[in-house]
Amino acid sequence: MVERPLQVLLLILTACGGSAATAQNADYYHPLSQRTPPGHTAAWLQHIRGQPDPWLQPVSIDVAGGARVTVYSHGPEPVASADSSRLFALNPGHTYRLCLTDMNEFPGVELYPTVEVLDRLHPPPGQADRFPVPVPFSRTDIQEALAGNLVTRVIYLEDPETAQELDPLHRELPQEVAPADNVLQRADQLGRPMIIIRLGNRAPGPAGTSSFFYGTGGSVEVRERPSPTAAPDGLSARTTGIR
Amino acid sequence: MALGALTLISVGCAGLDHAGTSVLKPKEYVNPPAAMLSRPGPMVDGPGPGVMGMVAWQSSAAGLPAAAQTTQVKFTGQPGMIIGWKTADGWADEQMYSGNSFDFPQNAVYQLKFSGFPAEGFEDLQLYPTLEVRGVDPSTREYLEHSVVPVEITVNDLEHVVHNNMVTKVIYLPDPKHQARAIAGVETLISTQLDPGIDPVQQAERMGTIMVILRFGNKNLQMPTTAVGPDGTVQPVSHQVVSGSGPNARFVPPMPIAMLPADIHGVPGTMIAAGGGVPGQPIAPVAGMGPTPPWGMPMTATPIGLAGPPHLPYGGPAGLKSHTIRNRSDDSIPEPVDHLLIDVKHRPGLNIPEPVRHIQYEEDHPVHQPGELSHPAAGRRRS
Repeated sequence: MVERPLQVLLLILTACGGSAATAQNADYYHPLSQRTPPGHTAAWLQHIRGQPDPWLQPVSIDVAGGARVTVYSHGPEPVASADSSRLFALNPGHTYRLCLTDMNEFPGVELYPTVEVLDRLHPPPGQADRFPVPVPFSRTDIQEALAGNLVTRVIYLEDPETAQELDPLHRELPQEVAPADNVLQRADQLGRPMIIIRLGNRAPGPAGTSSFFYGTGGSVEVRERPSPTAAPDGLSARTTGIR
Repeated sequence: MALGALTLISVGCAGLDHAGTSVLKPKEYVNPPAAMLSRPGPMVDGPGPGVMGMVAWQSSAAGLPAAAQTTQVKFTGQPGMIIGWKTADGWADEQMYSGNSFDFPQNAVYQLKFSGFPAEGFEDLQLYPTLEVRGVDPSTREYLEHSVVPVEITVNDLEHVVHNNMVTKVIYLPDPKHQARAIAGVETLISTQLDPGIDPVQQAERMGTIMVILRFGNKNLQMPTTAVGPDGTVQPVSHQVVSGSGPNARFVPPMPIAMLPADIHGVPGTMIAAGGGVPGQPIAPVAGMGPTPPWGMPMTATPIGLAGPPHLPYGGPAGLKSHTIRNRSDDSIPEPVDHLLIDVKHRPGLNIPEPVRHIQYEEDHPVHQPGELSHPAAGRRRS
């Protein structure tokens, strides 16, 4: 068995230029994009997989400065709530609505992003919580959302061979994306898309909101983060961000 | 508005000269009235046979429920501005303040009321704008489900209004090719900042997808009026007003003053001829049923002093034997089209590769001699 650190890269939709030609000149057709209506990409992938996957994929919701995270799944009643230092395990194929409150760097601010879980990791047995998929909300993301903009991130598991070519020194690459690019296709070229994050400034209205606003009914578990000293030999996790 | 009315009048007078003869040039066309243009008629906007299949994008694909059909609108620019709206029974004042948001159901037009402007010189101003909330579109769904649509009222807008100008604000989501950044943000077109003759709605539709349109002028919709009572006395008529503040504070949701044709499965509402686009299904917009106005019902006056149609007895025996109205207009109405050909071309057109027909799968397995096997690190024995 080859020992290789599990690497998760982030593709961030914040800039323009750069990789436009690469994405547009792809020689295959990709019917899905980041502009596909929320929930559809995960639902399509689940439909392709067949039976609903009972697996709960751990995710690490990383908010700049820390926050309280409340998870909604299928209605206005939250199904889980915990500090962002905990892990949240979510169902692949489902979309969840989060509520970020008590943000230390943004006091009094409430944000309601969505997390669309497309796929899952396949960690060693018993080690799932050591390899959570990061769901980052940076300071810049939150400021953009409060300014009325919609921030979309596609998180993918990198292809080890491609990653060696693109980032042999494991630096943090600046990832530039043009507005008209299909970012999901770009992520698919670089690896396996895992999660779509969408962050805006809309909150549930006082007059009530449809149940779909809160998600598609997936399961949620809150878990403790494993101690870093519990890692067996030869296994280590590394997260790299590309902008 | 004034310019538009003037144009219509001049067209209406162009048909006759002083001698009563036509001054129209040969083959010059005369448009029907705007009201007739807005309803193309049976078999175009319904009722009629369903011929449109389910070819468009479906919101319920893969078993997903329909998206939220509300647009969250936030009014900004005038801190402390009071917002009310027209309700089913009258008016509701002080329902929200500038800086707050409200979820307006889509595909509808609302009559709002702005007051309490903090800007100097506009403290006593009351405005009655209309808010047109467009339906969700596949291109705007992602944004509308995650973000608030901002509507900013500036001092410049207020100055235009008090000087008898009408202000139209169109808030739209630009198409990706018109976006400067990958992060999606809304744009606003304001009629007072465009060149004369440019329609902000048409301009916004060229640049992206419209989400909200705010139109306002200086017309007062709560003018004090009077009415003659049964005993002949003149009595003031008051509007029923509910307030959101005070001891009897109540929140009353807004009532649309008009509904927009709702898209079904991505098909524009004005093009849907049968329920859901499926032949044989109940036809939703039946003329004369529910909110859809009757089509083709004569409302001409009759010699017996009642509105038409003249063949109804109105509770007594029918006595009218003949009622003839002759249209002597020199109309030139073409025959209906019996075979219509529409050529559609997209640039670039869809370009989907051929499906996979052959998969060849090979694996190379390493072969080791005895004693050359390598062991995983986790499986090695430690001394």
